Amino acid sequence: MKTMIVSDFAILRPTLIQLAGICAVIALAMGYATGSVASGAAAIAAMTPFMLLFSLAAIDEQGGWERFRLTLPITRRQVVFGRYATLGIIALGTIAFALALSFGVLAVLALLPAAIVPEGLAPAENPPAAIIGGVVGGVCVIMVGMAVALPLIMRFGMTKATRIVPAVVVIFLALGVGFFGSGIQPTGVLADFVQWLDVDSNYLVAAALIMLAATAIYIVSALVAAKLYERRAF
Amino acid sequence: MTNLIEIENLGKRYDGFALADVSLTVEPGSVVGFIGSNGAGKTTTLKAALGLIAADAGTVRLFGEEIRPGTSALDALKARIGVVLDTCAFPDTCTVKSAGSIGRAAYASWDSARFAALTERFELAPKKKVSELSRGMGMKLTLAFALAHNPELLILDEATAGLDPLAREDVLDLLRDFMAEGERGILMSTHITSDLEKIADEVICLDAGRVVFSLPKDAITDEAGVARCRTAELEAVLAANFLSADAVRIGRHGFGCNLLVPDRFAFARAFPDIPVDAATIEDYMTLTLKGESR
Repeated sequence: MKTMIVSDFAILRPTLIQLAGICAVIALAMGYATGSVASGAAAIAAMTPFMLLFSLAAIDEQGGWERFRLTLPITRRQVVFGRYATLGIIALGTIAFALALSFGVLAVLALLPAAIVPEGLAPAENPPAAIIGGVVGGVCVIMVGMAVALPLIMRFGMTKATRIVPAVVVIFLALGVGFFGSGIQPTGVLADFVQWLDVDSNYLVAAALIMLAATAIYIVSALVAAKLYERRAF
Repeated sequence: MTNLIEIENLGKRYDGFALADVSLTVEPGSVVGFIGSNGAGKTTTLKAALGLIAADAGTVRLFGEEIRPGTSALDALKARIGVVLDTCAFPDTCTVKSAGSIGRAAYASWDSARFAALTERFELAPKKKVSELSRGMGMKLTLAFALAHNPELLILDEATAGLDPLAREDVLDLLRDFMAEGERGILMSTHITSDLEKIADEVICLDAGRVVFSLPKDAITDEAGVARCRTAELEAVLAANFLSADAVRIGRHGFGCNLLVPDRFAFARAFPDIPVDAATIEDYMTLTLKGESR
């Protein structure tokens, strides 16, 4: 698995440096356009792991790298678990980067005269709860997305999977719209939960729980992907 | 002495293609050349040897152990093999230096100093990206990677394709150096049969998924020959039953024909008026695969 993680990061290194710059620009632009630092942070949190997932999957198919990699002393299960680990590390790194960027931006904005800072970007309008919720929520949603996409990419390769993944996503969206068509009304237990989130640091507990749930789905997906990758012919 | 590779009656079926009863052995200290036209089954055989595909029939043994794709036991065997496939294996964004990092992570026996020496010998700057390398330079990087963990066996699939003659000679020198150290071996698939004339001990030819011939290289280049016959001379040779019916292979051209003879010295004694040249591996393969039989 170590071989896989090292090779993934060796291959991604130039992309990571470029992406850090792109993310900073996007976060600032989105924050300014939406008048919320949290939304910019959520956007880069969601975008980064998914972009890198597709970068890695595309690179796998370049010049027979994926086939050659299997000639190294590494089993197919290690390839799959290594890829999941790489993307898991990227997800954690993205959380750290998005939080650091957001709080850094807020710190800079706090030093500026209040008159020149747009109202929505003022530190008072962007409490830590909103930023942490946006970042962790964004990463968790995308981890679930990766949990759906990765087994298909592992089984069929990037080229075929680009046709299959959107179809699966559309099916999930259609089911979601059908199920929550009338919108989610925060009543009963859900209303209590929303109220509970507003108390003290409960949002941190909620973020940790959501993260745990997304991680559990991600692990199950890795086990499925490992089974599917065993059958892949090269 | 344990063979490095031992393939027995290997079979693998795909839509429109079947590999059948392929057997080959790479003994310690030997270089086995693997030839045949495109789609003959060479790469499929190599993939099965590396456990990349599961065989439908037959067995593959590496270093005396039967391989089972997907097992960790296979990992330990793969750690003893260096592989060069038909393209530079590393992605465009990878640098020469990062290929070394991958090797260090993958192989316990990785020798960073040897990798550095090899890349320097091949004039591959550590910061150079794969996207900036020519095909030939990319193949050299893959070869440096394959050699830097001190493998006991090299499996090469068109490793010298795309290299200029001087670079090919350099690679062949490296392979000779590799073979000079200990009881190592090479299984080398190639279309450049002249490379095999310089380095191989054994030549195996595959066609349509079957082994057509498996011979010591010297039996081809030192013993076999191509007789340059006129039509009347060919008839005389055939009438004399110098060759068994199933061994006759004739290549016709505008001015006469070429006849493959397994022993050119015996032929020259029997037919002193017919010129006979030493056969190259390419002559032998072409006449065997494309030549007319009797």
